[in-house]
Amino acid sequence: MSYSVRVPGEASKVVVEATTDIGPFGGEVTVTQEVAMQ
Amino acid sequence: MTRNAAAAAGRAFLAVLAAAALLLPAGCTEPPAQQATQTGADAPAGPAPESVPAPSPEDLGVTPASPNALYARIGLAEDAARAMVVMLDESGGADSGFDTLYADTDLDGRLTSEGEKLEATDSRDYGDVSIAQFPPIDLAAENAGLDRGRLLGLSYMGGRDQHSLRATVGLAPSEGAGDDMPTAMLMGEPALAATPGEAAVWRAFGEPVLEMQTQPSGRTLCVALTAKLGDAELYAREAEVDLVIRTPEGEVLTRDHGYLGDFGFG
Repeated sequence: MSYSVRVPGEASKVVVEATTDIGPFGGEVTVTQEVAMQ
Repeated sequence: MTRNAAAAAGRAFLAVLAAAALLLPAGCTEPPAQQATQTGADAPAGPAPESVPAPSPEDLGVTPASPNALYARIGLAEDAARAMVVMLDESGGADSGFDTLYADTDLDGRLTSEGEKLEATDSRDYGDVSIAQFPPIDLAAENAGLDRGRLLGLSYMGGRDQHSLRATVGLAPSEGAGDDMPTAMLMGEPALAATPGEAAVWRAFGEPVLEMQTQPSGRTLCVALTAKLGDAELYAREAEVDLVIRTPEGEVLTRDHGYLGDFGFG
């Protein structure tokens, strides 16, 4: 799946955090990434 | 689940998958460039999967019609202690096209049991490339010890020296869900080799992993997420996703919400 997200403000660097609960298939999983905005 | 019901559900499931595979992510116009991977905090540490011995071609009890027969091993149990050997064969002999698949569904190390020989339900030849779709295998009916209904769909695509096997595993929502359509699926490409022993085991289950790729373009950020169990990608409509974008100092800029099974969400 993919998201196209408009990032408000003027921050030159943001942190993206995605969390999903795949329930019976393995529980909650979180991934975090720091991204430099162009 | 009866075999007919399994076959019907499997056909519907594979049709959904085929349609989904044609969709491109709607939110991204460029391939995401930056990637992060993190495993589930609650993922069981557990011991490394056991080494699964592979039978020799002679032990399988079937002489392939083609000298070009190919083998794969598919790990299906959560403990990875068992792996199903499959053999792709050309019924018309060398270079006639892969149209037959043997699957060791009872995990006895041989391909001679009833129902273990599958003929392609759909074969197409596009010149240099051919495809073959095999009937789904009702794993729950054949394998004791698996905790939920599963349908394994296998298809071949290739030609000349390029061959690939695509595996899809449909997961029923819960034990005893009967004929319900699978609500989640695992998808991947088990390795093919000239002998079972040369084929690395493709594990459809294992530690959950979430991969994220990002690509900024101006003030727009493309975020692509892929969940995996073992070697397989997981598509689960019931799995919700929360996406938070914040500053490094912690100020939340935006939140979004979706489902892992929503292709092209956003």
